[in-house]
Amino acid sequence: MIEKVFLGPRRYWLLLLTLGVFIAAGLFFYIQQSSEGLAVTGMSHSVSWGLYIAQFTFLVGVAASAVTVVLPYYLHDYKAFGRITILGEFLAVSSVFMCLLFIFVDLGQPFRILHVILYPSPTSLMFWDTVVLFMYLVLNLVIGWTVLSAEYRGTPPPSWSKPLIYLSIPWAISIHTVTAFLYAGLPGRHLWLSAIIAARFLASAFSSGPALLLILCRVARRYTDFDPGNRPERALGVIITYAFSAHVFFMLLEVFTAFYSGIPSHRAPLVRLFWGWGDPASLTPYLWISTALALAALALLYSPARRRDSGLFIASIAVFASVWIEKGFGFVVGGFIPDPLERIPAYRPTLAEAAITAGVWATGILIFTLLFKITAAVRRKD
Amino acid sequence: MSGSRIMKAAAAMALAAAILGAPFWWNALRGMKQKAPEPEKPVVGKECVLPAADMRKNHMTLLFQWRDDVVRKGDRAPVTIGGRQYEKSLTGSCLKCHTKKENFCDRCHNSLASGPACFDCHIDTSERGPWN
Amino acid sequence: MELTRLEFLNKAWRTGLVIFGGASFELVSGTSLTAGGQPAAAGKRLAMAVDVRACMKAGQCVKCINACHRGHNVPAIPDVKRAITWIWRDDLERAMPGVMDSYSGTAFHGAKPVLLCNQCGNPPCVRVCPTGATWKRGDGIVMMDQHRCIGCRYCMAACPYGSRSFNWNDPRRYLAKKLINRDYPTRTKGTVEKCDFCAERIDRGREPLCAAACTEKAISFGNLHEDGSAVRKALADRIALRRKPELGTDPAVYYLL
Repeated sequence: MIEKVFLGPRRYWLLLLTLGVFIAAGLFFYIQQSSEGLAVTGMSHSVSWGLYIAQFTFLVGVAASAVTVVLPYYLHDYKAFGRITILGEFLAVSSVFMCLLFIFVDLGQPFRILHVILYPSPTSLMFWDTVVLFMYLVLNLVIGWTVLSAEYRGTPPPSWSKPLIYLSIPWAISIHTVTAFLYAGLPGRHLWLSAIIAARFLASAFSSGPALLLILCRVARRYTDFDPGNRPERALGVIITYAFSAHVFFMLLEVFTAFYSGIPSHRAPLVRLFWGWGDPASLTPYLWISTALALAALALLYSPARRRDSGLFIASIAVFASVWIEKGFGFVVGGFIPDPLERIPAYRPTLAEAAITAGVWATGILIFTLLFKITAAVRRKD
Repeated sequence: MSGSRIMKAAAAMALAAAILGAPFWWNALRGMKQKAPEPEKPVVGKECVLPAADMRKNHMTLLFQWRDDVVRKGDRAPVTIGGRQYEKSLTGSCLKCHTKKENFCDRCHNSLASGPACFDCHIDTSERGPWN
Repeated sequence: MELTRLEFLNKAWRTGLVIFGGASFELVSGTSLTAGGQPAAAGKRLAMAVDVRACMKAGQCVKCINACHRGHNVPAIPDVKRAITWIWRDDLERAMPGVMDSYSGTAFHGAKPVLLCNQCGNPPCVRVCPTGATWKRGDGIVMMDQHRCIGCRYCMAACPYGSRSFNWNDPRRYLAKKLINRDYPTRTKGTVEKCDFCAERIDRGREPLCAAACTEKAISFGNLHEDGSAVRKALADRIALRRKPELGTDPAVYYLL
């Protein structure tokens, strides 16, 4: 099966080459980071986590969102998802791989990473996150590969794969819940200290993940002969609409509590996120872009435009971009502002940080491309 | 599998072995031999905390034990071996006799290209001064 | 090498137990897994009292900071964003938000007492550390093992006091070789560090460098659970505040007003 990745049209090789260039650039800057230290990033004493951990958080959501196609297909026998379920699983594989890479590039002493396993610390949620993410990677890789191999041989999937598939459903919820707990249990970080972080994370994951899957389906339909038709897209559209509405609703709940209670420490991070950090490096415009995109997405999703292919596509891009900014940047960085001494530190990712981030994304896209290539070839039966 | 395919596979494997093993072939052809490193023996102090053979084999285990005693258990009581007391300290004990790190630690470690990170933090108190 | 292999197997077994059993020996036996076999010194809790008035009277004095930072080879990094601070002076109203206003405590306006790690009784940094690189000793000190730290900086996100610093690059670049304290290590890039109440001195029966260096007698140190200790005497007839006690961290550093 794996030999399918070696044959492809010119476009395919061009894509691989482009991804290779991004990966090489990322690697170049990572070598610089390894020798210079994390000083090459924009992080600081006050904003001690930045783009890497924020992107990690966002991608755990994308990984967990595989459940939005796996669950209807396997539990409710929703046939329309039959053709894209495996894409959901492979999207999860690529995303978890990116998550682990983002953790790795964020470490100050990356070669000591096995200390997490060598000295297990059950009180640390980072320990549990590492464990559940790694297991989730293995689960999805095994499930996706087994199901595809069976299809390749023209046999039904082996019976032992069923329990694994059922296990992957609660497991998907667990990875994002544990990731939310990384933040939601810290005293003194008021943007994060909220009981609905896990619920918010799941809602934003179950909208941005399917949105990405829909975008990928559309790209595949346009440029390859892989065509799942538009029935699964319609169903994804419904999931995106409800999950994204829940996400926006949860955000408004946070805003209500922070502002109506009038407690300064709860209000401050939200104020800073949306109304400036008192610094020329302020990144508040992006949060407003995220908000505008969210409103545009809602307008599209709740209008007849959703039934048109183009309307749904644009709405998906808006949903993905809105969550990517809010969760893949604002939420994590915003939690550090103001800092414990009530100062308003500035944070702006550096070129090295952005290049390494792009390199990790390129690696994830490469893995997805290769897995997709195999899937498409198996479906074509060549 | 046809004969030509087997030939192709064998050729590919031979090429891979030639490329991946290049450092070995290169040194073998030049007649390079691994020279046994010669760490400098200390002038002061006749005996080490353990017999020399034991130290050669297990010095890292001993250092890890001292490290864990001091840092993690707060147990800084000196160890008594052969009637002599030793502070559980890399710089406070080891380097007191082995006064030249570069002529002792580095000789073996460089020869084996195994660089422990001890002196990234611990200060080389030998004559050449801090971190060289 | 026999020993290390055995140790590894032992750890692998423990890891398996934790992952699959959700419990571990240390958890069952009631001592913290991250304690590294720390014998509990019964009833001991090291604490510090900082006299804010005395500290204010000393003006711009930084004797304690110099003693600490020189003694522990803490580099002076010019970029404040990347600074390493074990002990530093900062505004009282920032350290304890809401403790005074325009009318009350006007005598303390502009006060900049010394701040340091609070050696919490219930430290969030210890709770979150994924490798046991930071843990609580039996005498209350929140200790750091630089060998164990992977530099994930979760502890910095968890600390509500800003007491932890990360080595964004090689700290030795900022240390003058001539001023180095050869009896204490430096740190390396990519690890987190902080004040540990001078554990290396306490274990040898001496008081922390900052307390010893203060000529204003602004820093009292001792066992909180011992009636006649210096810190208890200092706390007895003065009102003292701790930083953000509402977070439940139980700080061991008091500020006398």
